[in-house]
Amino acid sequence: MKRVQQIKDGEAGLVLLEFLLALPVLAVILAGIALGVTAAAKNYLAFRAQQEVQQEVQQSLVRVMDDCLSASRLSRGNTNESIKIYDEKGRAKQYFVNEDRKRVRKLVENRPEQPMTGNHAWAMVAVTSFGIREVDPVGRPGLYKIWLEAESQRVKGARYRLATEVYLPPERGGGTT
Amino acid sequence: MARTQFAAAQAAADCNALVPGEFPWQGEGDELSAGGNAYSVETHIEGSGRGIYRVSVQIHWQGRDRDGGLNLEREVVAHEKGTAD
Repeated sequence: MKRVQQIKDGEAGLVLLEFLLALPVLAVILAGIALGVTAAAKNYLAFRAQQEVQQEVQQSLVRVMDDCLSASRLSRGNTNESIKIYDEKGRAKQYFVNEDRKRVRKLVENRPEQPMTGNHAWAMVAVTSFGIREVDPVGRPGLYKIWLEAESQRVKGARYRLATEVYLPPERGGGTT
Repeated sequence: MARTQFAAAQAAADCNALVPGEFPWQGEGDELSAGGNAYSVETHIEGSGRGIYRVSVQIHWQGRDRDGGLNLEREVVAHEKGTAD
């Protein structure tokens, strides 16, 4: 009994000492894990915002381009950031940049109530540039450059620009921007 | 990018300005490095008859995570000019 008691007395305070040594080490390890998780989450959200910006720009510009390819005439619309597209029957459709109530610039079709961008909840995509211009009115009439550029308002640096050219033979009405 | 090349080739063909051989990139220089990728565009024009051309576009890209390539081919025919009745 006395021997067991002596052993117990010799060990008194050892657990507390271990605890005091382990605590800062544990704190450093946990801080490292927290930093890693935070950085990974931040990277993921930035990647997601970039994906959403790219997706909105690609889908919107493809839609505009498809309309342009089947148009009888193209021209700049009512503003510098607009495109007016006339079909075979002379009916006009206009794509333009509109600022909504939250001051987010969105690409819309005909009416502000029909936005084509800014639909992803996370990225909050805002259009920075949209337009059309004739590449070479004299040398190659009917060749138009169309572009759309947007960025995420939530994640700084997440932006994307897409540009392409479409050709409308002058006989079909091209070359009149 | 391929659409840009094909559209420019068609416009050049209509103006009788399309020449067989290499066709340079028709877009802007900074479009070749967009979205974190570096693109190279090679376009080859082959004549297959009067006003008829075969346009081959090869696009290669190198990105942070992956590389890739795309080959597209289209026949471009110069439009006949309309005549007034």
